[in-house]
Amino acid sequence: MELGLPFLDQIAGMNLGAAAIAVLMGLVIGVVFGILPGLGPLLGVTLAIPFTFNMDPVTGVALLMGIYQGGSYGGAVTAILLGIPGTPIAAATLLDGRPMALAGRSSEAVTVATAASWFGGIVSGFALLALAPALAEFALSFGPAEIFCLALLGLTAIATLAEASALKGLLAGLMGLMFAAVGTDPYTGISRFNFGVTELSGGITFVALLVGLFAIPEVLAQIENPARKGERLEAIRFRLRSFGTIVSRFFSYLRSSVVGVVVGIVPGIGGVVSSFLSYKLARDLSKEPEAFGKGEPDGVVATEAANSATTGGALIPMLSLGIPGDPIVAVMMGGLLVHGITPGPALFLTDADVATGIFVMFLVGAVLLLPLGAFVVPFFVKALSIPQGLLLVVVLMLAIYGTYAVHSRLFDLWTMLAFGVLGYGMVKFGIPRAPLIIGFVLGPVVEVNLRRMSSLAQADPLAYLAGRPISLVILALVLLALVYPLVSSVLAARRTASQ
Amino acid sequence: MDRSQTITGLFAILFGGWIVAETYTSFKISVSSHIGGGIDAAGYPRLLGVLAVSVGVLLLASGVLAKGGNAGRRSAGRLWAPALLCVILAAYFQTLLLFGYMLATPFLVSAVLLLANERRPIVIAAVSVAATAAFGLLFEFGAGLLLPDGRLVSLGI
Repeated sequence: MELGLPFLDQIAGMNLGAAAIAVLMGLVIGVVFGILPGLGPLLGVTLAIPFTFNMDPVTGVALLMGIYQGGSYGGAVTAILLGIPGTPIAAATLLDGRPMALAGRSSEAVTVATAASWFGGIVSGFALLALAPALAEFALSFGPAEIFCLALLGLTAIATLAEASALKGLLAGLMGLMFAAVGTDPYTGISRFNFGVTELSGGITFVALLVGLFAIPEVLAQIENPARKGERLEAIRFRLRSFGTIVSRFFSYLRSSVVGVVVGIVPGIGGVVSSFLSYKLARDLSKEPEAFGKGEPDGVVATEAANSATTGGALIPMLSLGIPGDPIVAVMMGGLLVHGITPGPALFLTDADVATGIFVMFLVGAVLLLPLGAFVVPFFVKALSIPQGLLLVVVLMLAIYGTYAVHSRLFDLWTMLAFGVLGYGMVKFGIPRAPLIIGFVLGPVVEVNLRRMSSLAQADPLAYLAGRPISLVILALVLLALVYPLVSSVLAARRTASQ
Repeated sequence: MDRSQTITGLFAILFGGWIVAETYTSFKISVSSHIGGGIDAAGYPRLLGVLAVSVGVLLLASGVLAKGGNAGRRSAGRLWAPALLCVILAAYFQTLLLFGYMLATPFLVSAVLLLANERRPIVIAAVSVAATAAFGLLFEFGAGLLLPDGRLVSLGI
């Protein structure tokens, strides 16, 4: 079956005006959340989820994608101006962006970051357009075994590769799968783990879990250390000459964007790794590697183009395979599931208009990032002067009433608080929260396909798997994802011992 | 000993063990039927529970055997403040039932501002009233959400 994208025909028949406004709003919200240290795009997307329920799927996802794109970029502004990355993915931008600012080149650094984010976003938009349908077409022939193995790969990769402790990551992933099992057995319809609580018979409310895990711990952590005062910064403005580096350093922009897309496609790695990897590559290939770390614009290009391109890359496995590449994409996937849209290969057959709308809106967001960065961000840095108390009130109110909005019941608020305490404890004990959310989103996929596979395999699962080479390859990758952290920690220990 | 790793391991063993026990003792799960053979409704959560226990044992062993200490992320701040905020949130959810959004919310906002070290009474009062009104308008008219009225308001008190 030819999937492709009946792209232009479909766009002509679509009304994407509301979605375009949503993506613009998302960019604005995302940039503000990115600029403010401690918030970031994940919190922005989490808090926006309930507001998408009354929107059509494309408009809702457009809002979330805008926040993702804007948030990924906004963190760079704070990294450059304050020396604090607004988001973890902007940490690498500090290396050269901050020295540029200290040398009185803030506007140049922010302009280069804007240009690089814009370029990276557009490259990843086209990569999304080209690769997602092709991958989905390939995945259409997948059966329960392949889908189960893929979900397992997504989960183990995120659990073991993204954070320091692979075991803690695996535990978080398992907890996510268990929380997803609360409610009703998808196979038999039998109630389970609801402990006689009627509100749990439909399962744990996704938004309550999400907001509890990501928004409440943030508020609790900031209340624990109420350090940040409002900041006043020097004015910045867009510099056309610095924007021209897109032409003079074209290959640097392109290489960094390609690194971002490739890393984004691999589940569990994400923007932090892509920007540091791209930075290292840029420094290694540079004729003046000693200039890096001292205010070299190529360093800003490398990190910002890469982390921006990671956003589109991470959407590829989610849309084509139903496997979210990072926690923000997992949240978006949850948003689509709420609308009854199931990401995966069938999306391109059953909801091709939604897939097309998402592609178009991603590109619209990538394009709009430039005028937003050029003309609006200089005013947005004033957001840094918002007192912390006020900011916490805003986050808390959005968290509480965003959760309440889903079913208009207080039970969800208690669920949110319980997951807030759990999330805070996870932060304290160094247990990553991202695998939990991905386990929760993938839970039904894992369970249904595992049980289907076990039904098909009957008494001999090994013989069944042996006849499915794609599953075997994916399982080998799962094994690699499990073994890699162990091997690398052993090697690191040996290196330390030998030193 | 790595205390953080050890405590996490113990938690995983308890959590996983409880899940496994539930799959045997919970009536609704234990009567579930097999459809088309394969893993049944209890089998899947039981498998997850066993895996969690296994991960817990590994965490516990690596925590106990670890050289050097790690007590988790040590707090440089006020640990009582997040605990107090959790209590305040719980009280807020209860008072929502009784007093409704408009009466209960200013107290929550004031408490958050106080915990964030805001000490100017006029600012606290102004922000509490303004935030309550602004979010009330946003949620009621912007998002079409019916905010809790509270039983007292419903009774006309």
